[in-house]
Formats: sequence, structure tokens, C-alpha cells
Amino acid sequence: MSSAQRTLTVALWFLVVISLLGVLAMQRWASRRERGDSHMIVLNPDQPTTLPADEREPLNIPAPSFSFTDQNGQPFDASMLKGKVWTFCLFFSECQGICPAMRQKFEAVQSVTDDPNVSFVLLSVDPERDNPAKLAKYAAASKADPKRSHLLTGDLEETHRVARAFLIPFDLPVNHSAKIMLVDQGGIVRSFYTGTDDDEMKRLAKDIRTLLNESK
Amino acid sequence: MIEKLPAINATLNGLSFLLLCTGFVLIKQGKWRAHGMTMAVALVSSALFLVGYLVHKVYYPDIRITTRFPNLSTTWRYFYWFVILIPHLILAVAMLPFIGKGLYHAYKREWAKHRAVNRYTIWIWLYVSLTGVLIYYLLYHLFPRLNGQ
Repeated sequence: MSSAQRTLTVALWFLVVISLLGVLAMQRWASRRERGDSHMIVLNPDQPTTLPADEREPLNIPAPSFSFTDQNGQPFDASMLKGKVWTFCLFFSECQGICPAMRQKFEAVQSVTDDPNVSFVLLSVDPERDNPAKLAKYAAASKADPKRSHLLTGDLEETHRVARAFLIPFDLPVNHSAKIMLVDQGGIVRSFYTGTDDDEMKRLAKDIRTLLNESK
Repeated sequence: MIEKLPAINATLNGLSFLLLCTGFVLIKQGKWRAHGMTMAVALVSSALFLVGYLVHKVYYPDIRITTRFPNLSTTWRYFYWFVILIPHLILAVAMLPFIGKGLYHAYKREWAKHRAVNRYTIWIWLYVSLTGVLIYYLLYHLFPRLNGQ
């Protein structure tokens, strides 16, 4: 083996070993973080649901069933979300208030995982103006994955009923909640997050991951 | 389809790595015919990877990890850039003419020259294909986890 060849192989082996060690360290770091305390209510069939550390109301309510029309003009039923981890929030396409602020942060959360078993349901609180065509335009302008995003519109009474069932009632479209509800594979609302708050959105991203791992 | 490309590319890279190892052992055992065929398949696999990689680049030209993984700590980011990505990229580009030269000498049956070039190229190629798989694992599996905090 010539000296040049020796130098090259030693350097490359060195790089490979350092890289692998680094990756192992990152893996440990990632699993330590994921084990870290989550505010999400972890369901345990043997124990009643306990209050999380920050005295948040324990959420253990079933997500309501509903049936609306999505941005493609197709009927969309709550049963289509069975077995998926999904989020639910209210919005309307002409919102000048919290929606644009939420949107950017929420889209960042949506890109955290490309798991097809995650869905993002956005229900319009302005069904009179938000027809499917308008929702399609809104969806097209978004960075979110169109296959996993469901922008829904439908009957106003039904919209009120579903929003109330999710504990985020609204009166006028402009006066809707910025809360994002997280629903597990069994259709149970597990926690909620303020869509305009960076820390809460990080927590949402983490909790989506936890729920996905729970089913594995 | 495009979403599946990174995984396909990584598989091709891993396949190249295994074939290169096999080819290396075969020539050490003097089985030059089997060596030739193994290396040809490794070359095809690496070439397919390169095509897949470039196609993916056309569809996703901007894949800066600072925007994709904003919560990734600076330590990991710099580690990824300077220890893994940059050496991988430099060597991946640099090895191309040497692979061509080695192939040319094999074609011309100039075995002494073929050996002289490839005793360097093989290590670089092995390194590049192995770190290629590692980079895929980081970008599509580990970084999303680290970022999801």
C-alpha cells in the first residue's frame, strides 16, 4: 500500500467512523427528547385520565361525526378519517385576522411528517362564501400537502354543531377560535393547541409523532 | 412517485455499496470475470442513482435544511454540513472522472493502469455510496424526528 493510498483510506475510515458516531449520538438525542414530558393526555385503559402538569382541561371527548364537501367538491365524511391521526381547526378563506397568522405556522407543522396516516381538516366557518372552488384556490396557494389537507364547507347549522362538539364554538366567522384540535386513530380528541403560538405548534408536531408511534 | 424517489435513490446507493464490496473481494480472490460483471452492475446502480438524484433536484431545487428543519440544533446542522455532506459532495463529484478512467482502462484491457487508478477510486466510491445512504437516513428519518420537538 503506497503512502498516498494509506492516507486516503485512513482519512475516509476516520470520516466514516466520525459520521456514524455522530448519527448514533443524534439518534440517542432524538429518542431522549421524544420520551420527554408531553402535555398530551396519554390514554391508559387501566387508569382514569389524569390532569397534565399545566392544569389544562383533560380532553377525552370523541370527535363528532360530520359530513361536508371538500375542496375538490367531493363529499367528505368523518368516517374517512378512521385510523388516522388528524387535526381539526376552523378557518375561512377571507379571514384577515388569525387565519393568515396560523397558516404559516401550521404549514410548518404539516411538513414535519410525510406520513399518509396524518390528515389536516380545516372547516370553513363562512360556508356562504367558501364554496369548493374557493377552497381549492385557497388550498392551491398553500404549501401544505394537498392529499392530506381537507378543506371543508357545508351547511352553516352543521358547521355550528361540529364546532360546538369540538368545544370551539363561534358566532360570526370573524370571531372563530385559533385552537387546533388533535384527534387520535380511535377518534378521540386528545389535546388542543393555539395555532398562533410557536411553542404550542412545536408541541403539536411532537404530539402528532407520539400518536403515530402509539399505533405502532 | 417523486415522493418515493429519495427512498429509491438510497436503495440504489446501498446496493452499489454492497456490489462494490463484493467486487472488491472477488478481484482479491482473482475471480476477474465475476468482478467485471459485479462492478458493471454497481456502475449501473450508481448511474441510476445519479439520474434519480438529479430528477429529484429538478422537482425540489431548494432543500435547505435550515428551512426544512428550523428546530434542528446548530451543532447537528454544522456536523451534518461539514462532516457528512460536504466531504460526500466533493468526493462524489471528484470521483466521476476517475471512475471513467478506470472503466476506460478495463475496456482497453490495460490492467496495470486499471489497478493504479482504482486502488484509490474504490475507497472513495465506497465512502460516497455509504454516506449517501446515511444522508438519506438523516434527511428523511432522523432530522424530522429531531425537528419535531
